[in-house]
Amino acid sequence: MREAKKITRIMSGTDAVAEAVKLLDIDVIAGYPIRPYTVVQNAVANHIANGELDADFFWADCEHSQFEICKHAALTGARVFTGSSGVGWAQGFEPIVIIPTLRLPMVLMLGNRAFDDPGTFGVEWNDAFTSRDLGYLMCWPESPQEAFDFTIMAYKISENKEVYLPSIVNIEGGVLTHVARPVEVPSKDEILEYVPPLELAFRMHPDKPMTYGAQVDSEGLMVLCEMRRQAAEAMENAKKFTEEAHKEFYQKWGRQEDPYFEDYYAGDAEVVLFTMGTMGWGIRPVVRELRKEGKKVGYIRLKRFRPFPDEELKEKLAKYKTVGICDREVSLGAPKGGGVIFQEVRSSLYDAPSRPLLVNFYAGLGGREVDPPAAKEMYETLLKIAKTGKVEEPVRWIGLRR
Amino acid sequence: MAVVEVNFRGVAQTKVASNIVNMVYQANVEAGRTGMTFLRWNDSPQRVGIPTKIYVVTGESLEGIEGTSIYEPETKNVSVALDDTMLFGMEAGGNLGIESLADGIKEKGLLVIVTEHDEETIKKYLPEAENRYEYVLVRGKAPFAGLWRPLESSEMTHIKVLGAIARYYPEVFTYEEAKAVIPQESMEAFEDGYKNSIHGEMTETGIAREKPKWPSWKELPKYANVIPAVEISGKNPHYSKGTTKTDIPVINKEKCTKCALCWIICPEGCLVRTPDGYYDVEKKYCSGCGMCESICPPKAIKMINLIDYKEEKLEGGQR
Repeated sequence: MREAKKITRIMSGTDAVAEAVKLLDIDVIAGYPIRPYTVVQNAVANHIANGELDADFFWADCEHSQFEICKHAALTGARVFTGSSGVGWAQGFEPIVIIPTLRLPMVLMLGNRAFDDPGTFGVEWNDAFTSRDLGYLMCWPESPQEAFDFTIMAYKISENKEVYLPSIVNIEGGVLTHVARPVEVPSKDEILEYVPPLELAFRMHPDKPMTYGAQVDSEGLMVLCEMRRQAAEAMENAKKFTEEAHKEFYQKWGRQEDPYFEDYYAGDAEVVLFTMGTMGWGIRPVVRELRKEGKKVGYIRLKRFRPFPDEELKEKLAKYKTVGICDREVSLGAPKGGGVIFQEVRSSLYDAPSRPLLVNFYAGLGGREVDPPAAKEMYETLLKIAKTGKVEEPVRWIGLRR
Repeated sequence: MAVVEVNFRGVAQTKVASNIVNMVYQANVEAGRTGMTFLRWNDSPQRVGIPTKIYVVTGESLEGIEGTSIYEPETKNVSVALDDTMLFGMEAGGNLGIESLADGIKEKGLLVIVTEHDEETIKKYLPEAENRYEYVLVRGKAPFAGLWRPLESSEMTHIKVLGAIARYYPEVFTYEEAKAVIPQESMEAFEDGYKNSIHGEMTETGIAREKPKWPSWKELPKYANVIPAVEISGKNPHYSKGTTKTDIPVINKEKCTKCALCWIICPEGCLVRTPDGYYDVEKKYCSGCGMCESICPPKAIKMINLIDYKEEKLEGGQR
């Protein structure tokens, strides 16, 4: 680990993302206001106005245009940044589905927000999960520091020629977007040494006219299937390069050693809660409290959702008696009526030699806070199940008024 | 097993073509056999004027085709063309290049052509195939009874085609078998096709067209969705639209005032300015839409049927 001059500043998650893209020297950003994405575009606009960043800011007429502008800018080889939230993400969905197929190494910030109607500003993960199968690399930072780190790494991994798939940095709306903590900020030189300027292998240039995203429908039966396979290979590569990016990041700055998980009292635990994002804020104090009472509880946080750390997860969770999985979105009509993370974990564990009992908690829906009492309720349920060995209700709603 | 292929133009003839294959199928079912029909979806049957195909396979069993949704027969017994301008080939959406109506036709197979032109003219344009085949000319206009017009407005061409098949290729269905499914009011057209179609033989043979080979996912360029484009103001040879047209504009330079409206309106950009200020048509890229004809103020542009054009029957137009 190299000793670098550390500058610590107080930032919210969105400020941290804006600071990261400033230091990454992005060329183009497009904006259309929707909270909580608005905060980040305003922050980047400030950087440009203050002369700290030389980038083109496009004020789009809607999210669809916003993503189109950035998609086309990215085709010219520009390093771009944009993003949205909830229904704004839905409005921009047509270009959003195309970006991975075009193999553009773009980085998008998704300020997670529940879909309207009914109008709500609270966080849910469903906006992100609309895009889970499209070929995006997805991470869920927990703190402003991690939002900063993951944004830097997102460019590093996506811009690798063997990957060339876009990334979504999920910043939970109303939680991480609006809460400030200290962030260690390396110098621009250090960042650009870690993520060198982008040299897109197939950039658009007037000297060499190319057709991008040509209609392959007619040939589709002959080519599209092969293109999908190529993208699948890129996703396999992404896993390898994610691990490498973390290794290099850790060597440089001494953070983010483990690319996939963060353990909290999980080593000798019997029951663990497993989730992503900021839910651990309310869970950690409860873990400490229960540990004082001698109860072997732990907490594991998943940092990256795509590519999914399948084998690693299997190895990690197999040893526990009971695992509770928190989902911050509902997946209506899914097996057991459980959420997306629940389905993914169950599927991962299918061929594990031994499997823990699994319970799904719908927690924090619509931005409802997962506070210590809610976390306590979940741990008590898990401990009871570990004792009886029976899961009577596989899916439970936490924080629901009854 | 007998394979009948109907070549038609998207949207405008989809209904007529489907009706032909459905009735062939129906007659075979009534006669105690079985079958299946396949619309070649990979072409663009849902796009106006683009040539495409629909197949019907009939026989004693479905062996060999059961479980198939994309059917591309190696050989065919009967090929029907609902429009004689498809004799110049058909470039469907499938990037299979320009296909010939007689590709894969069996020895002594039958090519049925709906045409108003005389036999001597059509014979000049009959495509060469690997095998010798017979042809039948069904007398009538190309039936354009598609999405918005009832089938009857096609002057019962579809029924005439069935009559011609029953007479000259009874392996598909016999006269009696066909009669069982022809509605009473259509019998006149059926008899007309049966009796009055012109029959002959094409004896010159050519070589089989090579089918394109496609690369594996590892052979494909790494970012496969990026392909070389044409230069600015150039034209893409892969999208020539050459076989989409039935008619082509002919410009009478004596009437032309050089107003350039045709040049402006042409959606394909296929009108080319000549050094003396007139306009020529780059035929390969013309889709035959006729917008130049409709906008021309002095009526110097006239759309002419492709075969008439080749025969130089220009009806007042001038090349």
